[in-house]
Amino acid sequence: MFTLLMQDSFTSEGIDKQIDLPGSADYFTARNLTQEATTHTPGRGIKFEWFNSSSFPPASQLRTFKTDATDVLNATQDTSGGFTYYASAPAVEAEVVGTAITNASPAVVAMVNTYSEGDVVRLYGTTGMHQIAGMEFTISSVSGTGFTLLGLDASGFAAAATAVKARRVPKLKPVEPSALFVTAISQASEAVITLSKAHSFVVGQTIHFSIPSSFGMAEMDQKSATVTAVTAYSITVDVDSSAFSAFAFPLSTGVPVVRLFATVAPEGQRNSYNINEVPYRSGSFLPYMHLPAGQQSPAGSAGDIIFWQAWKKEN
Amino acid sequence: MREKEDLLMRDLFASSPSYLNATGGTNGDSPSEISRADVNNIERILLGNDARTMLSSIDAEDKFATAPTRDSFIALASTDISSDLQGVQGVLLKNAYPRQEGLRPEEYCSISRFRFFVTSQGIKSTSASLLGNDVFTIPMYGLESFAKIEQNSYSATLGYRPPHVVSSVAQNSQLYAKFACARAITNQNWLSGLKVTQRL
Repeated sequence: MFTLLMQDSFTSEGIDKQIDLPGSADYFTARNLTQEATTHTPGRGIKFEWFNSSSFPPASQLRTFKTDATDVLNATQDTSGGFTYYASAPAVEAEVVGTAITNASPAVVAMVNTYSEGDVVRLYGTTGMHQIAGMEFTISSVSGTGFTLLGLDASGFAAAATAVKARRVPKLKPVEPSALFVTAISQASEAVITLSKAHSFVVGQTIHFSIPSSFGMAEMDQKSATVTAVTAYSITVDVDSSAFSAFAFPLSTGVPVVRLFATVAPEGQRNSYNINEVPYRSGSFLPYMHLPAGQQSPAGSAGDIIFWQAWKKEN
Repeated sequence: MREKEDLLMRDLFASSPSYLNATGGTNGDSPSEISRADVNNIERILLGNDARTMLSSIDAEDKFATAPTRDSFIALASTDISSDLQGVQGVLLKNAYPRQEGLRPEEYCSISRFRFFVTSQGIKSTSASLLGNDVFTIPMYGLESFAKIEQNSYSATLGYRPPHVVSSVAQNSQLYAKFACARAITNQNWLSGLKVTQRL
């Protein structure tokens, strides 16, 4: 016998969605009502299902999707882009030792790799590149021999790292959106901020900078700003930085004496902070379901209306 | 339940404010252990952002081995760095305050313009330092920098679900607590802090 635990709907913002559940779930389904009523090429996913079973590892889903430009339905089981169910607080994983980080744009880490696209790792012990030791990065272009740090342009660094250690950490912080590491700030009429991780900031959100003087652009320190545009790893803000000093990482040899890190955090309620638009949501609420955004994923694309249900099996 | 409320507030601190790595220590790690210079730097940031202190001063009295404290901001630290707090230059341990009335058991010491409170539930990041040591985060804040918002006409509930409600075979009962806790950073300018490691 199945019992309906909870159901609700939301309008997708084009970013991942976390749904807190009142109890453990055995079946979860999400329907994209917007895409059910229209057709596209490529055909979009309209129904997404997850079962609490070993057949559904993290990020997997049973996906029903439309054929290109018609209403004809297909179904498939995905191993990526789907639901991840969190029943216990994710922990920091075991240490993995690597051999190098290139001083290139983007930086590439060399290590025997088992991590997945989009995972978040914390890097430390970065000999030769100590200025990033302790930072967290979203990884991409994964292979068996390494991964790429899209959020880090290390081409200005004096040297490549000759050693690195990594641990995979939970994607979500206890509270989201959280403070993030800044890896670059442009000198422009609207400054573009590059972040080490894929972020969940949205246009209109007010944010706050902490930029130690060791990073050059001291004018940005303790400044508040509003986000005017976003990409996966960057945000554009309403601050004219064209006359500011250039942003640059301190030298590796300066660590541990130089102050780290440059960070940006949500501003709080001050300055037209909109709690409806960007709620501080808890990542430590358990259990919860994580819905990735995307055309073939349960949280859909911006503007899509998503209806979801969580079910519990009674023995 | 109250502990859970504390944890929720701790998580808010952990994720939202911008922290600086301590650099004034001597353990060779990044961040280093806490030092007087690091604490003074956070005081500079808070004062520069017009934050107001939270605790009033404790006046000097004619008692041996005591010293007054200034009006102070608050710092929340992990119990794991309590030994490092004792080693900071100019630390005034709690027993050296001229008056003990009204002090919380969890208060530990006064350093510069901050009164430090310690908790075993403090913010800790595993292997986040240059050398792979654990990093402890110390939120340091002024008046009205954050808020826990009470809900109108809503209070905590302790509930019991009997076995025949929990499942059809009536094997287990459930006890639960329900409460509402809305958290908010009200002004990021007045909330800063340090990331530190242990002295080893």
